[in-house]
Amino acid sequence: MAKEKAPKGIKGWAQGRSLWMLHFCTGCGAIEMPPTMTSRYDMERFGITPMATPRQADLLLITGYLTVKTLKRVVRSYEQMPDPKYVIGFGSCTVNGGMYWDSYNTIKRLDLYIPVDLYIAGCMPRPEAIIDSFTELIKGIKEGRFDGWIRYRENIEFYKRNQAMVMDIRKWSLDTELAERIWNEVQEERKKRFERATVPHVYELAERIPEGLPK
Amino acid sequence: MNLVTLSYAQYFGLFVSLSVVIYLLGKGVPPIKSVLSFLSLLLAAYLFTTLQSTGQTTLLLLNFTFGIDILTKFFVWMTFGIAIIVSFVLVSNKELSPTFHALYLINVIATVFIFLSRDLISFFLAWELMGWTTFAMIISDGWTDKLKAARKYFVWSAIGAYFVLIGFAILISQTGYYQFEPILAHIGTIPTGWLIFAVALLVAGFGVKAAMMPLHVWAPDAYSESPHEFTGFFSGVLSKAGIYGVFMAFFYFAARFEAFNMLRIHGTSIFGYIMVWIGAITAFGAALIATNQEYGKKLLAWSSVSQLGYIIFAFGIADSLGMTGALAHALAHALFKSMLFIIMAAVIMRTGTDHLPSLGGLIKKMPLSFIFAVVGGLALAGIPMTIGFTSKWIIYEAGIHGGYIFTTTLIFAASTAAFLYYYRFVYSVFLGPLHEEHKEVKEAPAYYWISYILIAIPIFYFGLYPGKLLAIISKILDTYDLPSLQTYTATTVATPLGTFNGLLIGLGFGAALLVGLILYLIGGRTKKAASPTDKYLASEVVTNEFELHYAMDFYKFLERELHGILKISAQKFYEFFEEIVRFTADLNRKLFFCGNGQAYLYYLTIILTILIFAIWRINL
Amino acid sequence: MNAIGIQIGWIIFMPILVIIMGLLYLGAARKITARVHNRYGPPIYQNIIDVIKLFSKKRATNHGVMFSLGPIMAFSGLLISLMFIPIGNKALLSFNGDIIVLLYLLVIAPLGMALGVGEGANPMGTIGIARALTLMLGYEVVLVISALSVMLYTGSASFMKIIEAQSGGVGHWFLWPLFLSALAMDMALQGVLGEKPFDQPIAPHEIASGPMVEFGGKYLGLLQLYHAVAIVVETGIMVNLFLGGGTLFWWFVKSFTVFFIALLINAVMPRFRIGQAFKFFWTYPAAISLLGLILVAILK
Repeated sequence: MAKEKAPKGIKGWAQGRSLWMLHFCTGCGAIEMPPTMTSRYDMERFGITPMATPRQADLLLITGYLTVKTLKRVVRSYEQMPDPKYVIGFGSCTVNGGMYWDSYNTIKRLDLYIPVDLYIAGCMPRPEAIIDSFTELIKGIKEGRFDGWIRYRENIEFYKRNQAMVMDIRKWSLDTELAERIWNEVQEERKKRFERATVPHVYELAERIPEGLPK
Repeated sequence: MNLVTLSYAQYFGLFVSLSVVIYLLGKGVPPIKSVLSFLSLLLAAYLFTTLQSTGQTTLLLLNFTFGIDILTKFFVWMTFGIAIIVSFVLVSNKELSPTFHALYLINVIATVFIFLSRDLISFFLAWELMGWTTFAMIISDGWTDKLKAARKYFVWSAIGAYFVLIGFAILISQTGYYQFEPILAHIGTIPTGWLIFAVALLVAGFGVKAAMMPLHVWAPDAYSESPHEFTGFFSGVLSKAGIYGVFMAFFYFAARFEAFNMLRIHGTSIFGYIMVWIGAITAFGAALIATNQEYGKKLLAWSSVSQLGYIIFAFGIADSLGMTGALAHALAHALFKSMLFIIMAAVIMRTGTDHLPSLGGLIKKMPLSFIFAVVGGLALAGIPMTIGFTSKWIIYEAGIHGGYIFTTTLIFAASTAAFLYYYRFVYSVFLGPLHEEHKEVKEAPAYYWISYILIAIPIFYFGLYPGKLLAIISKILDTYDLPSLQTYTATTVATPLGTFNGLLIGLGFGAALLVGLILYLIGGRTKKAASPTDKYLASEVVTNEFELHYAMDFYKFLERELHGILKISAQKFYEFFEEIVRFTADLNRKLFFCGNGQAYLYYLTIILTILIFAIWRINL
Repeated sequence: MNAIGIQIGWIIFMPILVIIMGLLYLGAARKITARVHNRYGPPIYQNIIDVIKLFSKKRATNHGVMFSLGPIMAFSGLLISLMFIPIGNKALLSFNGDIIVLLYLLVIAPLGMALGVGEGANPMGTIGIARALTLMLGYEVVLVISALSVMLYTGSASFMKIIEAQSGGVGHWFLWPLFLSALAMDMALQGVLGEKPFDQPIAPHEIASGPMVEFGGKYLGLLQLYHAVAIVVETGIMVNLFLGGGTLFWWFVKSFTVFFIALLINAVMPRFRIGQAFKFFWTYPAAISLLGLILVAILK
């Protein structure tokens, strides 16, 4: 099967000019959304509107840190979105953990778990920064630069393996067969690694970064 | 050439004896009973075509007259059609007793004889036979739990029968005849007051069977408690016997009588006006009640009451549009309601319940039943292209044309409410999530879906070619010298208000569906849902241990707002009435049968005093 | 022959025109709402972009055959109803139907959608449908009473005859003699269009856009087209019954004006509870329309 490509031409233009957004209001970043939506900054002029369900959304906005518990929901929401879909990581927390860099129950790097197309740095990013990222995303989609969902499909093992480090992917993945297999593999590895440990580790610290991120 | 020629009496006798044969054979060789009853009905339908157009039988000094005209044929073929289909479905049901099958045959034949009879006595006898056998059929299997509904049906049938009997007695005593023809000839000799009284009694008596509010209270219980497959026939056809009775009482006798038509409101006789209101309130009230039912059969039963209200409404209007609409809707209701009840029977057979919240998701298991539930629903909601629209449209035009503004509004609201309860039914049964215990459910047997197809054919045929139906109805009305609708071709119907072309709508919708399909195919490809739990539920994984079937209290918000209207209940009124009777009877008993010697002494003294006083007065 | 050819041409052309106009209406609605909210708003052709995007999306989740068929049936139901309403004095097929035929054809679309939503088996979708049906029971009564008064007034249920009776300038519009009915119908239209305060079936914040909750990609695209056509047809009823129809241009101007009024109310209103909405329709608008109907019955 030929490699799927990001939409170009009229499809790409339409995709860029009409981004429907699912804002997953996890952290404090959500407070920056109302000014972005309302009369001061008005993101609707770019055709971006908030949507109620992932089925209708093109753009997943992660506004802040993700605990392991919320990551499960994010993964499920992301998988329920139809292609093409884009992810924007919002604020430092999604880049490197931000002020939660040493927290035991938050993940630090979002793009280990789902493919992120754009990051907005800052704590908090101002609405100007958000608008800037939107324009960048629109431009990039038109040029066919963003292909996060294709990366996710092609490197599904990588992402699922990382997800399996922190959460029970069997319950939260849509593709249960794949999830079951990878979950078992990860458990085997884990058992081997912690064989010698005196204290059984229930949770592993989130980031055990594998060599070489997927391109 | 006909191979056999039977007289009416032989015809009747043949099938009554056949039913005895079914009963006896069914006791011995159980599987044969349903097949035999099906074959007997086929034979009955065939032999019906060989009957002569009039006939007489003398029995016990009474001269029974029978006849066949086009109205008879309309109703009889409706009866036979639904009865044979229901009987065909019953072949697959092994559980019903031979008693039931025997009674079913008698019931169908009795219903046919109601339509055949041309004198009041045989009419009444056939009427009673139908009522009795229906009662017996309701309780024929598992009678203890159904006794309440059956008793209610029986009591109301009896009340209806008394009304009819008194009405007949008046007609007979005033004219001196009991055959239809001479009564009609002498109808002018009856004093106006007596005639109005008689017709009122007859309409009330037949109205019981036609589930006219406030005489409807038996219907929901009896419909929902009767054997499931039989309910299709019960609700679809037996109620039409009441409609036929109303038709005969009203138009065959009364309408010919000039004085009867003198009392007018708005250009219609006062009787018609009352019937319009009763029909509209029946249609509207029953539809609202149907939206709040939690059991499938009860919901459909209330829906039946509502649809019968349409027919009464249209009869009341009594112009060419009204009469046409009423007869068309009588057929339409027989078709779609028997279809929906048979589907309900199939669902009950496969899952064992008609409790709506316990069903759900059966579209994956019983797709054919679902498709035909949609077809039946289209006809019920009166969507164009089905027979339901043909009849409802004519009824609306009749209402508007006649200037019945309030009642027509009520009828419209009833139709919207029909949409509400229909969706509740089809969603709760076929759509929504599948319950764990219904994982193994299979499609209904071939007997069922063949019968669906048989019923669906006329539903669509008369929807696309409304003129074909109107041709029959116009002929009926012309035979009875009633106003008939003449402005129709095979596909179009025109009224003074507007026109509608069934076939064009059908073709147009087909083309539009094609356009929609092309657009659908142009769009990007889709993927199948990964699992039944692949739903958006606020990003949560919700599995089957949670109740996700939104079927309980479906229209709770509506119920809350309509609380005032729904509180009014004829049932409660009758219970109140019963209370009063009980109270007065109790009082009587306490006064006169108190067992107190002193009290008796008092009464005796009083009576003696009065007697002595009376004697003394007389002697003076 | 030539006349039939032109008729068929219109039958093919009109849906395309109406779809584009409907999408522009929706775009204008967003723009106008934005201006009321003191925002800049999206371009007026935004909804056309949305539809192109939705149809180009891949791997929208499919829950079964009826789920796919639902949006198709909704869209086709609207297309066929479009044929039975005269647009700009062009009777496409409507010489073969009347108001009641149209009202019943309009039911096909929601029914199709409701069945599709049902197979989606999402309780939020079903709650949306239950609300939509309850709302329908509310406004349908008002709509029908108002339409009845027009039918009684002209003695015909045919759209063409009603438009004909209003020809001859603004003074002949039924808006003036049947003002109460027109007012009631406009109130009912607010519910028919699903604009606030009657957007309970959609209610994104309560039930995640209700019936649309499981529809994505081209399913939603079809539903957008359905919505676009629905707006034109539904405002068209008002235009034909009370505002005298008119040539193609004026017809759309009038229809947009009707929509515009609904929009302005929508832009500043919160949402009723569904029970309140139902009760509202059966009290004030119903009373006004009944008064109008009685006046027609008496004066005629």
